[in-house]
Amino acid sequence: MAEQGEGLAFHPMNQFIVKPLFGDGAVHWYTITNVTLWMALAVLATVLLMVVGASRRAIVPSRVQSVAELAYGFVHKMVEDVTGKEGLKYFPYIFTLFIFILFANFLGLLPMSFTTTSHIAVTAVLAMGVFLVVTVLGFAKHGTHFLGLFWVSSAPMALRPILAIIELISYFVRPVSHSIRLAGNMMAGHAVIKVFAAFAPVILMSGIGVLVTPLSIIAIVGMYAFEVLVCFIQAYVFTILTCVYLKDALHPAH
Amino acid sequence: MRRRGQNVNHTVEYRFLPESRPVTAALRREFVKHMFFNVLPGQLRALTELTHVAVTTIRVQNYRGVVLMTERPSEEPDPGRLKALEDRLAQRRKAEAKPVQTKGDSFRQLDTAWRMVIELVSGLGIGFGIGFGLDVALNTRPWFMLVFTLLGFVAGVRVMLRTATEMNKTAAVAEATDKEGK
Repeated sequence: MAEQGEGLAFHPMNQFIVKPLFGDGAVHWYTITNVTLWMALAVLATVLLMVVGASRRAIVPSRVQSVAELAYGFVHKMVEDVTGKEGLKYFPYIFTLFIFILFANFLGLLPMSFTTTSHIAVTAVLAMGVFLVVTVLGFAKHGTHFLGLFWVSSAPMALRPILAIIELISYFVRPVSHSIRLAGNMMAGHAVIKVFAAFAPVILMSGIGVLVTPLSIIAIVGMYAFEVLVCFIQAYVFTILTCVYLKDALHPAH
Repeated sequence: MRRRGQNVNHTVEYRFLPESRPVTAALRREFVKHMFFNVLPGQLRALTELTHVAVTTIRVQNYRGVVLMTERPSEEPDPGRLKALEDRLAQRRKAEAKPVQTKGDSFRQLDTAWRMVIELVSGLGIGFGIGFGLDVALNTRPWFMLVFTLLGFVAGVRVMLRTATEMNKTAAVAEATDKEGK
């Protein structure tokens, strides 16, 4: 992210361009692009942490194993706290989401890397997956009772159809805000870092750079630290919202 | 778990306490290994603390099945040690819970604000989308568009308010647990 030598020529949004890895033709759905690469790396990192790191199953864990156990315990507790005991059945799915998003976010912080979660296309698929799972689960568990979520029985009869439409729309707001938030946060942070980075080499061009360059470098450092926080919090928020939606599907009393 | 000695059977019954650590497969294996090879009540107690597994009975039988010795290590736990352990655990839990909260607190507020804005706007957008779609399908522009944009706005506000109550609730819960911890 903070490549300085490039001068003002680079555009802060260029880092988000999807490029094919081999050759440069049009991008089709099967084209192997930098997105594919970095998602594969996220999966690889997950495997390294959870499978290779924890494979020794020592009672006194190694460093990697304690990180794996910590992550496991953290999400496990979150699922249990939010959805209750019966939500634990869906823990593998939620944990997969968490660890994938976490690694995708943090891999995106490496210089010159690509942040897959800054693309709505990626986060929307994740959020759509959650939305479909939760909706299907709600219907499978409760049948038509699940529609009670939209039928506010405490309201007067005349208002209920209108309220039903409103509830329906707010139900669809969830996957949208779910995905926009993750992508928006990741994209905004990375773009801001790039903008500051663009100001860093001013010292090579004019006298005012004496002032601008140190400021922008400090800003990059600060922003980067903030991004580290954001990476974790956004993965956390995505996961906890998944838990909340899951709880709604399991207990649609509303 | 059974261990066959020269002419004695060594039976140990155990159960997992509710607060067992989530990564139990490895711990369980480790525990059972210890069960087989060196069971002494003192060691057991240490292991119990480590793994949160309560040993309910240890029974030593001879080859005919006659009980030679029964011990119930965790039926009568040492209240002093338990208290000390509880205190230590509570202290550690508090220490663990605190930094996470202070770290994310102001940031979470910012995030919630940002979340509310997105919810409001996406509610509006979805309402508009549905209305516009209906208009195109039924050729009634602009009526559905108007009505559904309004409904979408209301839906956005509803979701937003729900987020706000949720936040208040979690804040209240956090405060309550904090007080309890003290």
